[in-house]
Amino acid sequence: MEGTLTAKPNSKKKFLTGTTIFIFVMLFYPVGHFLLMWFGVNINSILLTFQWPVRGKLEFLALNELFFNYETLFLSFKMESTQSMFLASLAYFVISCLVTLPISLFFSYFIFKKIRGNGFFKIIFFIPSILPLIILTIVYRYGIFSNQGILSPMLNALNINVASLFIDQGARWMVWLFCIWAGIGYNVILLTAGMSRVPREILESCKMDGVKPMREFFKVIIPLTWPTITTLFILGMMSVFNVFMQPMFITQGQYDTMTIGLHIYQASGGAGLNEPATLGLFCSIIGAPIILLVRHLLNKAYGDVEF
Amino acid sequence: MKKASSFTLCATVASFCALLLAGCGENLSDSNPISGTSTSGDTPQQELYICVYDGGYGTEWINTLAAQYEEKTGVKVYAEADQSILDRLEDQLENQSDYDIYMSHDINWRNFAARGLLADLDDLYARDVEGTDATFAEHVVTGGAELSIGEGENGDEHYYKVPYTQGAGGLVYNIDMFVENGWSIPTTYAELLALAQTIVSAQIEIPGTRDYVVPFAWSGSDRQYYWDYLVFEWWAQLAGLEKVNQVIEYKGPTGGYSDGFEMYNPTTYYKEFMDAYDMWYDLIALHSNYSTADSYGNQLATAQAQFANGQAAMIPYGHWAKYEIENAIGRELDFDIAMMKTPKATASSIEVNYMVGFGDSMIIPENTPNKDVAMDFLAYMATEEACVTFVEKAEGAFLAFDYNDVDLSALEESDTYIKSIREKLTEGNNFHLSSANPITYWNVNSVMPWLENTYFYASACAQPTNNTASIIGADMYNRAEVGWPVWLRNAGLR
Repeated sequence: MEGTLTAKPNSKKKFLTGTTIFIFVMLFYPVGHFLLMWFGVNINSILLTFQWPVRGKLEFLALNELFFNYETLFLSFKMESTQSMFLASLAYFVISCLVTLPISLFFSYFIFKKIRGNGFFKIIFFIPSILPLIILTIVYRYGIFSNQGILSPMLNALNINVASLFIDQGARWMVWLFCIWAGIGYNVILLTAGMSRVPREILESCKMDGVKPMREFFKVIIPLTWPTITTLFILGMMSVFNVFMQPMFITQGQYDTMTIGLHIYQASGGAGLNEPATLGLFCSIIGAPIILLVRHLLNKAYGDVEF
Repeated sequence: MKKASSFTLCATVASFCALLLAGCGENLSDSNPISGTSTSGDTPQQELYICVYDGGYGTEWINTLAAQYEEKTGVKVYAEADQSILDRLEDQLENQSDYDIYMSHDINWRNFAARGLLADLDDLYARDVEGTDATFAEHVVTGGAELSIGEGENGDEHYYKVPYTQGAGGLVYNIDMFVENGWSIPTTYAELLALAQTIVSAQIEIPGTRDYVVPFAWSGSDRQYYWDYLVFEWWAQLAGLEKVNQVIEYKGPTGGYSDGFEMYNPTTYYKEFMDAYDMWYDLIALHSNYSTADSYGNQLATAQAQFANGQAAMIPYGHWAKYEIENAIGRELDFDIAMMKTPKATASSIEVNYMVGFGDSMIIPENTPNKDVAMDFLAYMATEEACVTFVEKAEGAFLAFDYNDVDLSALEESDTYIKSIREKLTEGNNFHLSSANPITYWNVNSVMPWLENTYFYASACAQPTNNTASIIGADMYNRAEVGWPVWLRNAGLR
């Protein structure tokens, strides 16, 4: 009994150790950030999906029609513009994960192996990653379609009508092409960093065994950089929902280049926040499990990499 | 030792936080201009803070107006031009507003009014405008006062905004080129077609190039909607203003909201709109030689440069053309320009002017303690002195007040462009396309003359056969019918 009584002040004293304070201080910001910027923002968005405009103000729906906004969203799936928006957004999965990522992997290996000209390509790939997107889109547009552009005369010489490139069917291709061009640099930075961590001993061993570069790439480099590849693949999947600046700056969302992200961004500037909030939550509900499942499967592909 | 280091850590963190907070406090008091009166000095001077959208009018006009008002009243006016005003406006209105007046396009004022974020301007509208016999409400350009009434927080109707500008749009032309070549200003669409052919046939060489002058320079890439200024006026002339006003109510034949999509029916309500588009289509899409090369893919800067360099005789533009083109090319134009009255759809058509940017607004936040001074400044803006200053400094833009009694003779004498805008604004029937139907403002970029903000001007030039009036008319009608129930529900209309 006495022992118990004397133990209490000690535990109190222990609670206020420097380590505890340090942990508290270090956790204070991320936890606060999470509560405010994630929970605070998202709870408001979730609540918005159960509101609708009444005499100019958003008010909560009655219980018997609580899912009114969701019904409206499903109704909008019949609209050509909504279908086009979903298709245009899904295209970014293909662009990011199945086109940009494999190309990035190839060029990263090229740079990693220090093949002749790698320094030049390093600069070519890295520049788009360090410039603001708005500058990049201007450079891109003027480079291709302008009297002063470098590519314009070349394309004209090939009998390609550059004026039509950013119009109608051509527009979406130009946005995709931009995403590939601008996206490679970012991927290459992360992938070369990942590859540089591959132990030299393994590579030297490959060399001594006479392993060809292609085999080394697929059998050694890819498995050992798999965590980075997985991260980039997941980020690529997320681009389905969050690409918005590229089509906004290049085509203003015209010519079937409207994406889910751009639509939410534009609609959020208006009065009816219930509509973009509902679309956003719907996409999260559909997208989050898929992304988590893919992440789980990708992680299982090669297991943990430790070196 | 451990205690000491813990204490040091805590003290450091606490000091850092204190410094941050102190920094914030200092900044707030520095940057937060809402005070009503300055506390420095023995005699507090009243202050007014204004934020204007940094667009095609420049900032000289607001600085001059601020100086004139200050001289007249002793109130110190601080004006700031900002392109990001719309991004932070809602936050400013909900919390502590840094400004007493905001002036911009695309202000969601009905929504803000309903949430009690805007000051009720009934007193301002009831005031007499200095130097006139009219009240402020009477002095606002026709139709403007009615469109400024909205529902407040308790459902009562009040004035919540003042229309910012009344605009004009159409074809801006190179006067010198017209005079040198003896071309007349076309008054009808048929004459415009003939003029375009005349310009092309004349084969006027552009110095230093192998190209010839063409009738039009325009930007299909980011300003294709400038063609609207002609098309809308042709629509109004073909359909009549009454029918246009009926269409923009977006109520169906039954008088209710549910069948409002019928307003897009290309065989009935929207027939004349499609006819007007067809006129444009014949003029531009079917005559690629009437426009500068690749104009449908050009960016605005290219079109501006082409017009400024004399490569084209005309450019479709809004009333901010002179300021914006000169600003873009970095020098004054070396020829006189004017905006022609849009050639009439038919010889018997009435003269109309589509008021570009009529939905732009000036608002006063409810949370400013400076409402009276802010209203007084807005009342001052309706005076002749302010109206003249605005036209002069914004180089041809007009405030949304009655200019009939405003003496602009000195400006008109020295500036052909201002004269032409004045004539366009005052000698025709002004109309606007701002709808009071909630479906238009609860659905961003959906219910508007070009449904879902989809334009066809550039596409029509790239692929004329896919973008005829009949094809896009049917397409718009179908999209309107499918989308209507969704937009109705989004707007709280069932």
